[in-house]
Amino acid sequence: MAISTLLLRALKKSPWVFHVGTSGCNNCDIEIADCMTPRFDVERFGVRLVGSPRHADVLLLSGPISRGCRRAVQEAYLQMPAPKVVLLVGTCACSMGIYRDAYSVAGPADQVILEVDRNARLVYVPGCPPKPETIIAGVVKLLEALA
Amino acid sequence: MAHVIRIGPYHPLQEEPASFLLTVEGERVIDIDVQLGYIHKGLERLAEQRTYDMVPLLLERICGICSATHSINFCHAVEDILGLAVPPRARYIRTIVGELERIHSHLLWVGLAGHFIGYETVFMWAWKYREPVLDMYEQLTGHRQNSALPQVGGVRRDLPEQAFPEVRRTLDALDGQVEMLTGAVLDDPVLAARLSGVGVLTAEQALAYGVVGPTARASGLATDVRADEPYAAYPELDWKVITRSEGDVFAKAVVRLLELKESIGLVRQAMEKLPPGPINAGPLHVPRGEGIGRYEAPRGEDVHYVRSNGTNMPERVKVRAPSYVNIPSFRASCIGQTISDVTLTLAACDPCYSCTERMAVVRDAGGGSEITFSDLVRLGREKTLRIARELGRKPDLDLEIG
Amino acid sequence: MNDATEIGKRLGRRFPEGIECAPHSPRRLYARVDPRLLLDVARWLLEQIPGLRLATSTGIDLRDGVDVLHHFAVNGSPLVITIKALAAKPGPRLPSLAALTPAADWIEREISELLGVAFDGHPDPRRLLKARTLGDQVLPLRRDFDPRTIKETTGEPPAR
Ligand code: SF4
Repeated sequence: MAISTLLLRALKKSPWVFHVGTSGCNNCDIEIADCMTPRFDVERFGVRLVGSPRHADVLLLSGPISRGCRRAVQEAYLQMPAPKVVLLVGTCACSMGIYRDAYSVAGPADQVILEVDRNARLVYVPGCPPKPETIIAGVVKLLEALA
Repeated sequence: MAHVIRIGPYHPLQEEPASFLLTVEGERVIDIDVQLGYIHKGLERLAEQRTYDMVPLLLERICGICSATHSINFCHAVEDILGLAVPPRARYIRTIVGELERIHSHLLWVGLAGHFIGYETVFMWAWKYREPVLDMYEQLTGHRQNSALPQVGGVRRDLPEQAFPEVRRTLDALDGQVEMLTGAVLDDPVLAARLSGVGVLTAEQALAYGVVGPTARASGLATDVRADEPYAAYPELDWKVITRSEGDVFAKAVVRLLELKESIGLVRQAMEKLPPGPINAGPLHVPRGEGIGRYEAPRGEDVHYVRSNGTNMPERVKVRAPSYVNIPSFRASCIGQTISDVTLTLAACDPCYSCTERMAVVRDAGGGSEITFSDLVRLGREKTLRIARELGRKPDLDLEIG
Repeated sequence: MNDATEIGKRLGRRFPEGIECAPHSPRRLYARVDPRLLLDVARWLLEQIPGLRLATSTGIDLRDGVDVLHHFAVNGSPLVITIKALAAKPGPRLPSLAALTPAADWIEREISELLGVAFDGHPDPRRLLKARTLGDQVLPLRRDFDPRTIKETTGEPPAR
């Protein structure tokens, strides 16, 4: 078995997530945190929020990318070990949502990532904000897609 | 020797990622500086490109917790231009939505405060009790946080009265849970010892910095827009403004916990008394003029200024969220504190979102030291542990972070 | 006593010239002030009215200048007093209130970076909100601002 397949399998068992709240309204951030609390408790599936991109398999972005945080996001992505995926949570992250015309938004999140890695794997979870159930469904889809 | 410690930007202790630069001498903080701008979006300009009907939907997305706050308050400002009185049923509906929002926001804060001092149990309980509140919100408005209800002149949709019995049952259950939580926090000697005297903001400082909401009320200023400039259904309902005089973190916790109880009562009364009638003043034309809206958000007074030039879009919308005036007061409340108390003091203004351990270290070019937010949280927790030991108690602390 | 008309009258007596009061309702007072009097008026209000605090300020771009509105709220009362001063173009500038009340610190920085008003005497006139990659001449709340013209100084994207 190729080593990359093996690594992907390992990732599937317990994806570690580094969350960067870029510049959304933070409602998405709260729903993500909600996933960690007793009712939804995604930790039982091995999903875990970690404190450093270097430990993470999944980069979770919520909100559009503002000019102020664009570099930070790109750097966080580059610091992650491969194989890695990007999970875009919320309409803002997927398509900039209501902030599309705002002067201080640097661009759609996927473009900002693709700028530094043209082969990045991206998963979109739209919703404003997506309910925790939707976010979990998104993670499951992501894991299925990796198989 | 003075050191500069940089915290952030990725630890949205406040509503946005922000960097805090602490200058410390030994353990004491001698200066603090806040750097913002990581998520500045320019919503005010966007609002000038939307019609009056669309702006509330846009402003709902300023902040995920205060969504009803900003949309209702924009309506207040425009209604100030019009000199318009909103139909009674709409006023009651706004009250219900606003108070449910306050409940889930305060519960969120209680959980985070517990998290920062190492009481994970409080964190988990508070967030668990927050879920039924969001359920009620969804039952009544169709969405967990963004109700899309407020509209200039009233509300867009009516509340489904068939959902009321179930909401009442949930409220009854919540009442007991909140009481338990309040008791657990207020009667705990470790918490009292840990939080009293920390991050004191005096009444004079509170006034000079213009702080609002629970941050001001814990410093003895009885300011609450719901009472100062009564709007919605508040003058017709029975509730009281909670104040404390100590100004420390413990006082801020007490104020919020006691407000939870008031808010639950307010929702119950508003549902009881919900008057029949229209929910909207009908289509409106906004003439030239200017108006100021005020609204008591969970974190304090929210101010909107709207200038109209007679077209269907506002000429200028200015939004001043409560945290904007509460955060600068850190200069007054953090200086002189030890580092282990800084997180708490910062958190006491009510962070919007948990720093769920997503912190990147940024090296300070000026030879300053480097500390992660998790380090700060750990320092805070160690102090809790030390105090607990001194009191001869064993708290359920989880010192491993992340 | 905290009534807009009443305060308007007192303001008019204290400052017979250079101020124009327009009570909008008992709760809202608007006063246009000569920029040279701005500090004195603000100081007088803070001294005379107990519980007065600067709630926020608004900057509005007009043809002849930037209109700066300082909104003062009074704790425990529905009154909001707004004093307006026009910072005339070109090179709009106004005296800073930050020395009188720390509540003016942030909002003046914000108005200055988004609308290009200089506040004389501000203790700490650094940038607050605007992205650090945008130049000083990018003033997003000016009427003639066009987002398509933004040139960013981001430099190279981070290396792989
Ligand atoms: S998608 Fe909606 S909820 Fe999420 S950050 Fe954007 S505006 Fe906020």
